[in-house]
Amino acid sequence: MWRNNLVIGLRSLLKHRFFTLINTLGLSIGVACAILIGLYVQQELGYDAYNSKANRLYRLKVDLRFGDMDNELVVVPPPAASAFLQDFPEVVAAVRFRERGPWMVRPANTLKQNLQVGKTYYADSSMMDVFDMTLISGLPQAQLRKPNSLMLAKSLAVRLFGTWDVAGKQVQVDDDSVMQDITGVFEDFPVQSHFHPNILFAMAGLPESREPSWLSHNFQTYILLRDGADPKALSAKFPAMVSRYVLPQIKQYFSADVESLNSNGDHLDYYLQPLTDIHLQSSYIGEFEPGGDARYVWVFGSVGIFILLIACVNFINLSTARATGRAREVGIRKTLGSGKTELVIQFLTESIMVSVVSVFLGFLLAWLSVPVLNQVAGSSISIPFQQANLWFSLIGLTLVIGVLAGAYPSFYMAGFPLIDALKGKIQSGKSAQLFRSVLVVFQFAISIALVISTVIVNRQMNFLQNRKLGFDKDQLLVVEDVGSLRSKAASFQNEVSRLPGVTHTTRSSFLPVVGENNNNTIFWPEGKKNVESQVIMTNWRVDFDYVETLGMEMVAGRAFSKDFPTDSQAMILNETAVRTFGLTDPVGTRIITFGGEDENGQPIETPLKVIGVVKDFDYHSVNENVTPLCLMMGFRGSYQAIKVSQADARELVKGVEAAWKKVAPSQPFNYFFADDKFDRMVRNETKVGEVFAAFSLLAIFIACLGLFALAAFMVERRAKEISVRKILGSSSYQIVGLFSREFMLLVGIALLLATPIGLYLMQNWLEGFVFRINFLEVSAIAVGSAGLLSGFIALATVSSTAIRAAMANPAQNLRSE
Amino acid sequence: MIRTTNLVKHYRTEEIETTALNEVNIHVPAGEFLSIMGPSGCGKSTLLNILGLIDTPNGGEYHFLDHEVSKYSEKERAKLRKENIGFVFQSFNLIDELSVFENVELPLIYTNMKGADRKKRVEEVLEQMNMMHRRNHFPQQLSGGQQQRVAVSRAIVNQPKLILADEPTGNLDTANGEDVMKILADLNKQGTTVIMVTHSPHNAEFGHRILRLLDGKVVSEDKVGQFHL
Repeated sequence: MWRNNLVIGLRSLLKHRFFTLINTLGLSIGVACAILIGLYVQQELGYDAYNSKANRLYRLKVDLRFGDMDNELVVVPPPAASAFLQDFPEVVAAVRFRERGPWMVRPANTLKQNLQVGKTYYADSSMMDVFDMTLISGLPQAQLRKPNSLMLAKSLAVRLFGTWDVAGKQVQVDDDSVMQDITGVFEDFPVQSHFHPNILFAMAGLPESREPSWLSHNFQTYILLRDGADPKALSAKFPAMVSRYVLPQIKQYFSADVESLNSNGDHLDYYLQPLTDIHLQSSYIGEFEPGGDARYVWVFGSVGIFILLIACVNFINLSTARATGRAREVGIRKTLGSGKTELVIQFLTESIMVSVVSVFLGFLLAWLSVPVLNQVAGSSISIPFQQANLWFSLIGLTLVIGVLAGAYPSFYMAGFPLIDALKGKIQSGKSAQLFRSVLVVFQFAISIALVISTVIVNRQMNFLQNRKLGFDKDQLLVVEDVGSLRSKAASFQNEVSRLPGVTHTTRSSFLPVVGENNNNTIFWPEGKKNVESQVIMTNWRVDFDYVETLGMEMVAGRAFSKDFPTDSQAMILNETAVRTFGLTDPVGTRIITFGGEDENGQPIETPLKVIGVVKDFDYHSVNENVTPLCLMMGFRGSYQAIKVSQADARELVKGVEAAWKKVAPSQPFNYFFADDKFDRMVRNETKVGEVFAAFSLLAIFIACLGLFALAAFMVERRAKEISVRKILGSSSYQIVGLFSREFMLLVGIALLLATPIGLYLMQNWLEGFVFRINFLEVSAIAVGSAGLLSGFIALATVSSTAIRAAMANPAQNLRSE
Repeated sequence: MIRTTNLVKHYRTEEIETTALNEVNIHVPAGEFLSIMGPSGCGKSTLLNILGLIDTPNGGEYHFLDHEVSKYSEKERAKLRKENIGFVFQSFNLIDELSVFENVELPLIYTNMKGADRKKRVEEVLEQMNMMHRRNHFPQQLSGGQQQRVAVSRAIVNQPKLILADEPTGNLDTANGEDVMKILADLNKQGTTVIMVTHSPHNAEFGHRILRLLDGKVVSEDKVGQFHL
């Protein structure tokens, strides 16, 4: 029976090559899309799951609200880890990280060039108890214990030393006189980890880690629960812990008690975030790396399923349309004793055969497209050939597609009444035709909704890219690692400022969007040291000429100037900070913050005078509201920003490099142009739009493949009718119209259905953006272009077959009857 | 083997009801060769389809091998059919995608016979029909006569008690037609009951009895040769 089914299936597929080709092509492309999207979704959902203790591992998160400030942080105070360990028996281990760097690193006592190394963290010695790490050099018990010791990632060890077996050697960090001991080398963290340290410094070397303050939040802290511990029950104990540790300090420094806090709606709450949730829920302050976006996982996941459905619909439609052609076979088989079940199995065998070939080709196609996709989308998808799950999923996919596409046609055909089937009296029924029309509408509705979404996504991305940022990123050259020049940084700056074409230059670690931007401290206006008036404000240390170099605009007061020696105790606020403090006449106001500690360990209050207000500029990203920020004087910094007046930037780079070599011949010269870096950052979002557009076009392509074949079939079936009409005087134009009208009507209905669905989804999507395009305007454009595009493609598809039929010699068709 | 009592069959289109069979009573004992004749549209094929359990009557009784089958479900009819009846059609009704061997093998597949046994049986029949040399050919590659031999092979491969032939020579030239008729007569001699619908008086003479239908009614029965139960 099986052999017979396979044989007849294969021969029948070969006999109807055209339909087999269309089905296989559509399904293969659909399968390739589904596999690629499936890999992406699986990768996104599987972050950090490689940790053997992932199900017991949590990150601490603080939800903090004081006055107008409402922040969610994943950095917590230094003593939190030990307090959790001590107070809660459920917690069996904890590890803290403190982000530092980037640093200049080179093997100790060598003349090798420094390497700039980012993603460097101080870490507690419990690191290896909590996270899965593979130590490939060094002894486990020696790791992260002594000050001035560190661990290297394998890739960095190889870059520095040419080999990874370097435990016991030393490195020099930032040309410091104290050498750092390498105690161990670990395998690089997997792609699917939410952080990828290059260097882990022993926490013992960081005095800040021993500070008792519960009011500064700078340590990423992870806790490991004991087996079977209930995280909910544990979380219920957090408020008591806050009362025990945090509130006394708030009372001490700000004279605020719990009642007054609560009455203002202010709060400070601790939460546990499961390790495996971090990647897709990581838009908090203090993240190690930008994470994924759960919305994209959903969007692409559904797009993958829809594309596959569109391809399956092709199979269903073409099979039922052709079913009458197979009626005689059904009749003969039934006469010879075949039951309905045997026939269903036979037809399902055929659809599963198509599915096997399509999944095979689709897999091949996906495999070939992975590098392209990774390049275009900046993703890091790979096909896990060695995983049994992959092969099981492919087998599952084959069966699902085979049954999904084959079930309806199989039951439809096996259900033909014997006598009619045998006599060839089976006509394509009204209900089957209606069903086909419904499916065509379904295909086009999805395709059109995808096109509408694509247009809106891409418009939004363009909008973000071209929005006014509040600073001028053009013709801004940024030299990195200036901190490594130490005392020579000033002479480098001097050299640079003398270069022809340089209009302004400034030194800072903080640059909008492209630079470091997290450095938050509590501030309050003089005389208002209460909790309500406090503002957690980002503060940037900047040099003279900062505002001028970055092309920012002062809306009140003045920028820092060498003419005012008191500027070292001054600050410039952004407009949002002025609003948050509630200042009506900000210039001249004094703002207080903590600056260092006195001999008793008590924080010293430092007043700063507001000398100016800078117009708000984007500094987190292009999609975040501007938050309060102040600029203060500081002469250190790792970037030298250089504003250029001339267009020929390359000449200027040569001059700057020469100046660098003059002061630091052994240091690498690294630079970037701010607009490049900015574009690359926005491109991440733009890429999503591009990938989305590609999938939408594929969806339309597959839908049109089906439409093309369906039209070809209709034309073939109605060849005689066409001939008779022609003989009776119908023009070719009228005949093409006759066929096109039917399909265009379906596409029209699809447009009507897709428009509200597509627009509704996109409206929701846009709400995730702080800055967004005019929805009404873009909706009109999107619906218009989707309608025109799908209409045009469908018309072209259908009429190409209809025209051929209309041009044919009518006598030919009638004779063959 | 076969007995019908007042068998009635109507066909209904949207407006008109046509009576295809009107109270037909026939009796066919096992081993008989019955020819059915009549003008087009008289109900010959309808009768044959009902006798072959392909179609169901609207009224009357049909006893097949002592079962009253007129109310049988499709499943029950299929079972009786595949075990007892072989069909030969005017248009051969071979499946184009299957080779000669596979076409003949098909009925055996539906009786769940083992592969090796099937092969043996199919080869026997093809040998008998002188079609072994064409076993791997496809229907389109054969002449009409050869196709009908394959169709007859398929009809007898199950060793059915009854063969129903609907104008088996209708699409064949005289020589090939004669050939097929001889095969049917031989099968009948070996004990298989044969009921054949034909337009050809010559072919009808191969039967023991000729039944004439007109407008759905049996109008005459003539004995042709000798037939003893």
